[in-house]
Amino acid sequence: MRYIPHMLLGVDSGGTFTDFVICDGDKVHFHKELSTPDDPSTAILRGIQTLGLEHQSLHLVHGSTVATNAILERKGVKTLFVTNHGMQDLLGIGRQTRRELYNLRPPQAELWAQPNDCFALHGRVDANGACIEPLNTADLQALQNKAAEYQSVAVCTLFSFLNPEHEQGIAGVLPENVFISLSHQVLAEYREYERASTTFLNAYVGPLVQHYLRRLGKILSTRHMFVMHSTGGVMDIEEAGKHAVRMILSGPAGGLVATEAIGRQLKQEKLISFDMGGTSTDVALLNGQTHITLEGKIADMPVAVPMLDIHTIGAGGGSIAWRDAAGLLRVGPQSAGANPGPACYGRGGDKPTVSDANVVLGRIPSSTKLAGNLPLDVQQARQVVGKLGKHFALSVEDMAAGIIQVAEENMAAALRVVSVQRGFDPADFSLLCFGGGGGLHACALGDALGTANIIIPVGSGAFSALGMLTGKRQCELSRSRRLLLDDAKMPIQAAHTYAELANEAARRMPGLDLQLDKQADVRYCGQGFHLTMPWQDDSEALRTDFDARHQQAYGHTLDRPLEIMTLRLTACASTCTLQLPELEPATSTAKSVATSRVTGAGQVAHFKRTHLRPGHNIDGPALILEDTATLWLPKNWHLNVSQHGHLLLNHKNTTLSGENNA
Amino acid sequence: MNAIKLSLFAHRLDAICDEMGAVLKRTSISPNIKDREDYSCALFDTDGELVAQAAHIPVHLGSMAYCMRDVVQQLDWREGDVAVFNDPFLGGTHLPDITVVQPVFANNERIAFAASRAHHADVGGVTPGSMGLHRRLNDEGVVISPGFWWRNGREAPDFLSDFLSRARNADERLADLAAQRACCTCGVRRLQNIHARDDCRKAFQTLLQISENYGRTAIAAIPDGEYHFSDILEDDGLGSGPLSICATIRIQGEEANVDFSGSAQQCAGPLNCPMSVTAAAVFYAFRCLMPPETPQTSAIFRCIELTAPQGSLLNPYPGAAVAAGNVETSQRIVDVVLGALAEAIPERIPAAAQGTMNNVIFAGGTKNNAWVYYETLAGGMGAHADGDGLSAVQCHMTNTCNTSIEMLEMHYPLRITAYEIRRGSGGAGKHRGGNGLCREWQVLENCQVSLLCERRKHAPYGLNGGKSGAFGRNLLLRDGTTHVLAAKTTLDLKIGDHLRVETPGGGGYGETET
Repeated sequence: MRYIPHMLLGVDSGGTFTDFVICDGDKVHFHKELSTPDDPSTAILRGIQTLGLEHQSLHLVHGSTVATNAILERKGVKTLFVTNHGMQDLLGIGRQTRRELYNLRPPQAELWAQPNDCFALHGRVDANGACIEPLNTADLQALQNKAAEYQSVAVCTLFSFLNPEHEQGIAGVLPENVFISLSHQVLAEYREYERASTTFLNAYVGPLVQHYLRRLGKILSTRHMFVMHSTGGVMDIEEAGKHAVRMILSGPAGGLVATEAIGRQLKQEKLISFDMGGTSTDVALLNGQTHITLEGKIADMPVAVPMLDIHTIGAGGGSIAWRDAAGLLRVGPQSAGANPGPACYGRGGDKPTVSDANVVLGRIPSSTKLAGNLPLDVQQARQVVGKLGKHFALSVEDMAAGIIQVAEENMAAALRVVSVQRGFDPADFSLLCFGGGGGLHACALGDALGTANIIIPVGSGAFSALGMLTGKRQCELSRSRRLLLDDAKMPIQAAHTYAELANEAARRMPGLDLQLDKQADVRYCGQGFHLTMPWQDDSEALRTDFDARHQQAYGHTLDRPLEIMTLRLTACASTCTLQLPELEPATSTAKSVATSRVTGAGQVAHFKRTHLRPGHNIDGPALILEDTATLWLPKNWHLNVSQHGHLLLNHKNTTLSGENNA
Repeated sequence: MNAIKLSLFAHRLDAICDEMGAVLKRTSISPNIKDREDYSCALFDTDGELVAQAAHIPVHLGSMAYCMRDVVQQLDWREGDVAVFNDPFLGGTHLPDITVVQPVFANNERIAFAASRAHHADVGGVTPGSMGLHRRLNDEGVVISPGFWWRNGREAPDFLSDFLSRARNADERLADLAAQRACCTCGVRRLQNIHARDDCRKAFQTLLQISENYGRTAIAAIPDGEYHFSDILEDDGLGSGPLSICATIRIQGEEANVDFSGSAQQCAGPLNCPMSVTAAAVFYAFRCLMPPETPQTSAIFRCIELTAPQGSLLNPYPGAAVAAGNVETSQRIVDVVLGALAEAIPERIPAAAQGTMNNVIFAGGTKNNAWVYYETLAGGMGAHADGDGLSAVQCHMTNTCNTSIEMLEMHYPLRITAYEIRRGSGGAGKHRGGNGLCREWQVLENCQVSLLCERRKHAPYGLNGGKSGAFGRNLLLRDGTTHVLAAKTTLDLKIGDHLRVETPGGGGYGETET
């Protein structure tokens, strides 16, 4: 199929703002609208009208929170869960752990499926994929009657990834108008609880996502509409409707894809992305490329489809500071949220938050406007921070500084653990900050982690939308098959499974030239965990690679046979990659637009980000202002602007690495 | 040191423990450590007072807080030392829990210790998995008394040679121990970094003083008085029982005294509970009365005094079998301590939880192809003044995950034919106890099963007029007939047999309104 150029539009619907990025030839343009959470398409349509794109031929990539919010707010459709006889409590029992170790009176978790919404039927497939008990017609008849009461049905039977005939037989009796989610199609991998919860969530939000996307496509009258999924690839809207559970990180994935693209542009392999919001902060590590996890979770439910490995820390601008029983200062995990929000929002917030502390110290200048052009309530911020300060016998400024120190310590600690868990030292990484709140704490975190370089990229205020433009058409398929590496039949069995997966990929992305990447989960026989390895047809070579990886990861190898647990195939179509344009270089030095007092730093100059050009240099202390974010550059930090307009921050004691500016 | 600086310091210590945990999880190889997270990492001051800990398993918190002082005093520490031990009577709990400790030196002076404790899959002994029914500690596994695996930066290879020659899968043991050492080294480095800026020793003292308040405040909230409770363990697995556990708790102001006088003498079987585990269970119960943000230090327990007569079930003489002290007796101690506290603060204490871990161990195969599969089963939590108890969850002293049915069936000649909530097993009352669960295995190849369970005759108690939860049942379904099995037993299973374990429900709370 010939690629027909369209106007490229990335749209990311967030909780507060809907961000737009348009790429037209070599120009990139950003736009923001206030979101309309009840119907996100309203804000999208408004933005498209404002940008004058109604009659353009658009290639649109969308980051949507429709699936995520429906799960978090429990507003999915009425769903029936179907499984084997004796297993009807699969979702209720889960992994049989309790959430709080030391709570004698824990609240009841709200069940995802009430006992009455779970249906168990006879019929069993064994661990070799053989049917040892057939489905029976009485059960199927009863199921057919029951399913008529539901909008959606999730089916997860044991070993369906080896033999799907029971799930297919069950699907065959379900009424035509219900949404059907079959576990062997959603996630053909072993571990029944994780597969069941993923399949259930897919059924729970599938009809909503399907409806929303079809309607949006109609309103915008474009057939070239795609949705970003949780690994940073994109899929068409029909696929998205069937695999709604793959959209959980639809928005955040965009930020990471953009981080990767900018890392390539700046030739920086090792990056930690840092996206601080009101209630939480998302961080991710990139070591040349993004990392994928299969252990995602949402609302305490495992989601075992592949996702970018984004770690969420429960600390943000809205985190509340308080004094505990023994008189120590704590920040979070409670948050003022979006409503009433921090005291400085002037909407009735009466508890001191991290944002309020920033306002007290002047790091968020009093002239800053909130979303919807509302002014800051500095007086209210001082009052709530001052009130807490009295308990510690501290002045309002010292209290504010203490709150910020504790919050930054929490974040630095979380960043350290996230790095170490993945086998890295954070000091080797550059920090890439985007989103609203990160710029206020970036330099302090850099100091705490020993990170010498910080990047505030172009479009940091609409960064996920920028990432939408660089996502590839991509899908990840997998099938659990226990194969012994030394078994003579293994190569044929593996080849057969890979061929099936390749057919499935071609079916999902028809007419495209697909690049196939094969991987396998391999382990020593009997081990409880595996390493995901690039596939090799030569099993001796696979063994050598595995031993080497095991040696590297764990410091030893074992003299045991190897087994393959799951075969994986990633299929992607190459698309045009985004090139950010170079900016006109500066002709004079950067000019400050105002000054204000910042506690501990005296009178501090303000600069507007929109005025900064390649070649500009600024020494801290300084404040760099954007419409939706503020960057605090403390005394020992230096800023310069790259040829594409990225802000590059360096600690003054470290030499500037030349290639940043190349 | 002001409150802000102290907050920062406490956060940094917690972060070090988290980072140590990350190192251990990443570098260990056995599923029990990596996946079930049966480990903890801790920092101690130079006297062995716990100053921070990241724990997933409650039994580790209390036992580490209790015992490190003694271990620290026993050895002559030098920079670059790595000590290892698992002796339940010298700082350990039961033999599979192995502890690795490193001293932290700065300017030739000892300022602290970093330690990690992890449950190893096998430590030698007669029964694979080291959790069998034996009469002597030495039959349960290899006993490692505190000593140096590394001395002054040099490995002492002989130190572990006996252990490694007797433990099954020595490669894996050594790899996991190396992971524990790497984890401690990480803690040592990080503490040295902090010490370079702020004097850790002073900060430790302040932190311990402050954190003592969390414990004192919690106990001051309990009305003064003397409270009694007793309950039983059904048997020791070798024919003796019931074994009673009696507690008298005296609360006076900010101090508590917990006295187990009157409890049973130590037993022949493995239900004996070394003092460190007894302390862990008592500390757990009191820890539940403190706020969630309470620092994990030993000072929070300073106001609790513990008495258990030597030679009793809860303070046995060295050499006694203790494998199940951790997993069964500890649960009953919690029931008894909470039962006594319920007299004082009924609105804060729940009815009894299932009170057992329902240990099930299958073993089979021939010598070169032997297999062992170990599982603990969840049950009901007790109801409480605010609502019903949770169903089908791990209670009190443990919180490990189940084994996936598909994973299990792919690896062992077993098939799960039911895994469901045991409806109606929670005790009745104004608030209902949580339900237990049922798990049923079909046997596809002749093998052996060992059961180590409690609450099979004597049900978890209800409170304030609430009814008891249902006691558990171990059933064998063979040739169309159902046989009730003992709570603790080992038996041979034939192809086609079904083993069904029904776990206890939690007790109910309050009279049922009519």
